[in-house]
Amino acid sequence: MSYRIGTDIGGTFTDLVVSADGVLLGRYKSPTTPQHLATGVLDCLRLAAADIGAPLHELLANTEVLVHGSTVATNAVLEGKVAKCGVICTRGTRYTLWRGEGRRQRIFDFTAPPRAPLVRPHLCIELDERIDRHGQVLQPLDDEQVRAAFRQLRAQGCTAIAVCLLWSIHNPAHEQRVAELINEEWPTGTFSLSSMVQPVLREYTRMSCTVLNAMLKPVVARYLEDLERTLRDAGLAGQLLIVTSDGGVQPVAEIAARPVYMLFSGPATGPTAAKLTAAAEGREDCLLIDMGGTSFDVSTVIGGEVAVTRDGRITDHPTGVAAVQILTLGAGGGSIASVDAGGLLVVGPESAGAFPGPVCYGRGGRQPTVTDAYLALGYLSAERFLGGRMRLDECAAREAIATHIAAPLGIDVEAAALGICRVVNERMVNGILEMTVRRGIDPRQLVLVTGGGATCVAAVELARELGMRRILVPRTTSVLCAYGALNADLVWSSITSCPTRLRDFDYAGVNARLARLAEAGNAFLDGLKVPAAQRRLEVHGAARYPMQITEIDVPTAAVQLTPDHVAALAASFHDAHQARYAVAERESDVEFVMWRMVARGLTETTRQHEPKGQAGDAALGVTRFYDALAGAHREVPLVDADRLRPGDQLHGPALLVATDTTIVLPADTTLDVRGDGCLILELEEER
Amino acid sequence: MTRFKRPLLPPYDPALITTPLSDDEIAGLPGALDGGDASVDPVTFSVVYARLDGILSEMTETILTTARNPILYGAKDFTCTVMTTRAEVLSMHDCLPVHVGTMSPALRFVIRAFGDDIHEGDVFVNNASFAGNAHVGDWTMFAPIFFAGRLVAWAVNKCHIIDTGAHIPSNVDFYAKDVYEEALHFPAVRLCRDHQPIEDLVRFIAYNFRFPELWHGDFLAQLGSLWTAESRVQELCTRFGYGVVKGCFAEALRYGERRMREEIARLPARTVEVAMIGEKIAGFFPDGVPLKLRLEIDPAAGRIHFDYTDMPDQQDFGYNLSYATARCSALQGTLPLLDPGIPPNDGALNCIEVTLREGALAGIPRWPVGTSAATIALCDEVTNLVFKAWAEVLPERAMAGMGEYCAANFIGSGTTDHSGESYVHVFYLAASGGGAVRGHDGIPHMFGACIMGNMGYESIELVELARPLIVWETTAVIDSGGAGEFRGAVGVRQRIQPVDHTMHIGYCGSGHTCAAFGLDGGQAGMPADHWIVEQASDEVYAKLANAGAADVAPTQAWVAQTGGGGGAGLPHRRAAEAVLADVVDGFVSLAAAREVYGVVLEDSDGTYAIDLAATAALRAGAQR
Repeated sequence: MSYRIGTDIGGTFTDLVVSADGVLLGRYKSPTTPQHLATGVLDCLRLAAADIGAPLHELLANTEVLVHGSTVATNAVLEGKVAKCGVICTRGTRYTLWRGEGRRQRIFDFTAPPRAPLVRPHLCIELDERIDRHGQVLQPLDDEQVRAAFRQLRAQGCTAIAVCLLWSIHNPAHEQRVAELINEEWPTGTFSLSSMVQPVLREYTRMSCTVLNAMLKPVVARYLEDLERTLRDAGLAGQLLIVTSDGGVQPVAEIAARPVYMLFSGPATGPTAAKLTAAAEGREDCLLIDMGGTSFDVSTVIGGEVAVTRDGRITDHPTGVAAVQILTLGAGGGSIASVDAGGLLVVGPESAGAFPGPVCYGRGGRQPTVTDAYLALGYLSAERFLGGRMRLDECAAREAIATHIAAPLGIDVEAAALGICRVVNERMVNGILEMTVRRGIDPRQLVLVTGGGATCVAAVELARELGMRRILVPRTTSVLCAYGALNADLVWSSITSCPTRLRDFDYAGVNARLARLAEAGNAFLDGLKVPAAQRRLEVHGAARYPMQITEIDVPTAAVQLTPDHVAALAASFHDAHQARYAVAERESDVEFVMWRMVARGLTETTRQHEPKGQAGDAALGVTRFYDALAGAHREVPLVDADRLRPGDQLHGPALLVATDTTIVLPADTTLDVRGDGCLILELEEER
Repeated sequence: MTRFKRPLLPPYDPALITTPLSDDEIAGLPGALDGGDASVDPVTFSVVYARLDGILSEMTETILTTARNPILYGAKDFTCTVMTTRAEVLSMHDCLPVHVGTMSPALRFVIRAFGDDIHEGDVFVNNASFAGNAHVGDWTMFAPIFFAGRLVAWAVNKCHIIDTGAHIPSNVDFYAKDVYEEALHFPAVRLCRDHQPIEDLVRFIAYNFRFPELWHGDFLAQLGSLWTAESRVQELCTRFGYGVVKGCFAEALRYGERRMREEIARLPARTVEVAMIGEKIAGFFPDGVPLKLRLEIDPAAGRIHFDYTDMPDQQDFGYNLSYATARCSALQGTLPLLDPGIPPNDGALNCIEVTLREGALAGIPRWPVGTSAATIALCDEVTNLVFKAWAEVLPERAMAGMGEYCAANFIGSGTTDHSGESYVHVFYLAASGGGAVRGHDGIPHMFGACIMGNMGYESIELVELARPLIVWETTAVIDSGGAGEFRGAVGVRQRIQPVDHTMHIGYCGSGHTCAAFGLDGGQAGMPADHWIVEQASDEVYAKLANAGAADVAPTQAWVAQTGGGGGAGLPHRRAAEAVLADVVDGFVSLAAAREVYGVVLEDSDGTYAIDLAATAALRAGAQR
């Protein structure tokens, strides 16, 4: 038996899935162990081993590959638990991080705390050196100054150094010389060069990325080393791969050198799982929504490709690194509802979080939340929440809604609770529109996939608002990222800047660079022994109209470009511009400024297993919930979703509960159970 | 026999822009008088209101990502909004302050000029200050949004475009004494029919504006933004119904008014008069502009009233305010003192009345005087005076003076000798600092009160990529923030050298001779300044004044620094740790730490520590 394992460490739970021969064997959840994260993974592995009926060391000895996604880098940055980083930069630029990009949003609020730079100016040291936009040296580097700067940062206690010099993207010689000099004095040191980490235009973006990389290096290296040792000690024989921000996976050594690439590792494989869930229906386009306690995440898969942004950002610090495009809104189960002085009902972004949490948790929360509204409307079962592990206090929830929402608006508790749902749903709809309509995508053409346990309470209502008809709730909905990790491709990517234009295309220059990138990409896949049949190279051109500054990514499967390919790229660009911005200038020249090569080692898809639950009656009795269509409370069947079998069909209204999921099935909705256990919700055509 | 309708000829009656539209005036437009459903339920309203902000964000994003000029994609010198059929602003959550209150007068004029000749697919432009616009450089475009043949609202965006065909490559010209010297004006002109640009008009504009390709690209960006809003508002009508959407729009204004009236009801009933001597302007106000205004708060009536009647007379220069910006100075100077949750829509803003005098420097300008710089220089100064008035009324919320929009944010132009590369550039590399508020240091990166930090900084690499320039530095100016228990934010210095050409700079800044005031014992900020140096020797070649023009040779550099904000509270009360942090970060000098703040720092090999005993002694000594 040869196993594949996917695991994902979240804030509350560590998730894990195991497959063999392309079939999922089981999904497991264990509390996350913040003091030593690897312990949580081992706990999960033990659950898996017991379930499969093999000793842990045997399971691991027969594991071919273990794929791991983690929010460790994200959290390190958010919590400030990173290395003290110094910056070496060009004369006149030490205030770059302090300046940032401007663009204050809350303009009339002068009591908001000022934005804190990633590194304060006193740890940014300038060198007399200068390169111009053509890469020519205007002022040479002075070795002695470099040494002095380095020593000063070390004396200040810096344990990481970021080097970011102007125009190093066109001429990295000065940065490389700085690296040589640091190496001489500090061979074991942690430093990062902007021209190596992420050679993007705009010194602020590049410096921010380089600093994040340098400050994460020690933390991430320590974490990965420990994880690998723990797993090896427990018997892991196969490869350990890490999920990157763009939803691919890379070996540990690559990530240790460029940890900024795993900054958004945590949620990055969710869309991959959504893609597979939709693909089983023959659908290439889908929308994934995932509601957690404090946030609501939206991502898309279009044409079988997970949507990726070229500038993943953390707390407004840019990176310029490609990341799975996930829009996160402060709208979750714990989001607090309130009525402002003018009578506007507002939900979130303030959240009661996990502690004290919603009023109904009975842990001291006083302000009503979305979860309280769900409970008041009967969308959550007070007795069966989290498989009955937590009892919810419905009276307290209703009272909070009455006091804080119903009274000031002069409406009853049901209307107020429904109002909370409608306002939070509208924020979610806004988020979904931002990820679809605003990018020229019609949501009605997409199938909706849900992740997370609470998402299915609102899913049908959201689908209805957006004109979407079909919702897929995968069996793995509560461990979606771990399942996605198992199916993630090996992905290597790199960018090169070779600006050229449609009307005078530099075939020699672009193709020479693409050939070099293809070679490097293939070398990466060689190292991982990916057979030729499973390799895919793709090129993305960053295109814009002359004198624009934001590019649109247009892909091609060609690795060497001909006039036909370039014409097709230009046509895709015009189409995308028209779809996204309502205008296109088809007679205009098109500039291509950057090229990104993506080398993939395709992973064989793991099929989801059939439900193992006992066949039999899934009916649990009746409950009551508020029927938004009818505008009244009504009795509805209560169903155990874990006991549904493939082929089963249900008509709404009904409330479905599973150990980790609740599904509200309104009257006009039908549920079918697919062969792999995936639940398919279908809205009736509008009457 | 053709009957000619008499067109509007200047001078225009100010009532065309200052008075709200009457029912009769819009009765000919289908749907314009529909107020929509009389009562909308509070939840539906909250939902539609949330969606409106989403639409504004999308309009903004469209311009940011598709515009061709750095002033739009980099600096974001523009604002998008959606307005009612009566030319009232519905929402403006991500706006330049100086665009608050300057949209309505311009749209009123458009509607009055075209009457019922307004149709789906039309787009109008108005950049004429006597037709209600802020100044000639603000190219404001309006698209009526129809749903099933009825007017629902207007999509609007106001972009500062880089060139509007003036005799010099700039549309912010201190010396432009009247409209004829300013640039080309479009006092409500139709630019599109049936969603198609009117070709002959576009050809005319492209002939007259410098860098026609760039202008045309920006024009498309503006159209994309308007038409995106049009689709979105129509989708909203499909989803919720025309009557509901219109009812929600009406409710949005009532909501703004309720929020504002509640806030005003909590203010003290006061009348204060304040005066200050503003910028010294050679040839006009050599001893400084004598500014004066009265603020009257009537909490019972829910009204704030500004009286600008005593402002000096208008002058033959470009420094006069337009009607729109004179009114705006009172609005933008008031909003930071009030609850930041109040939406800056016309429901709220109409509770603030501003009495303006015809023919005043900050009032209703008399035709055809120049208002080229109306959105910055004097507007920033008057706003600082408004802050001063509020400081007397609400000392606990008062804000110290803000560093103003100065020469550093002006215009450079040139053509390279060898490659013939030609450009005009407005610099947003360095921003002035904000004033301190009790309990908070001033916020940096403001660019003055008319912008309040809503514009973006340019990247050095982007500037150098787009222009033949070397930006040698963008650095915090030490000791420029007014000292205080809460320090004014520091200004920023830029140093720019032209490559292979002589750069012509033209500027009309303020805050050069008049510092941002301090509060409660806090000190004033350092004024703005600029000069030309020989790049090799660093020797000063010429000191420059607040307004004027100069040439910078390829061997020289233009050094310009912005002003800092005023401080609040006595500097000796500032926490010594905060002073230490300021010193190591280069915001406060070692000398100022000791002499101004009374904090003694020991320097041991580049690392500073507070000498507690010496500091205590120094501070105690100062108290006696």
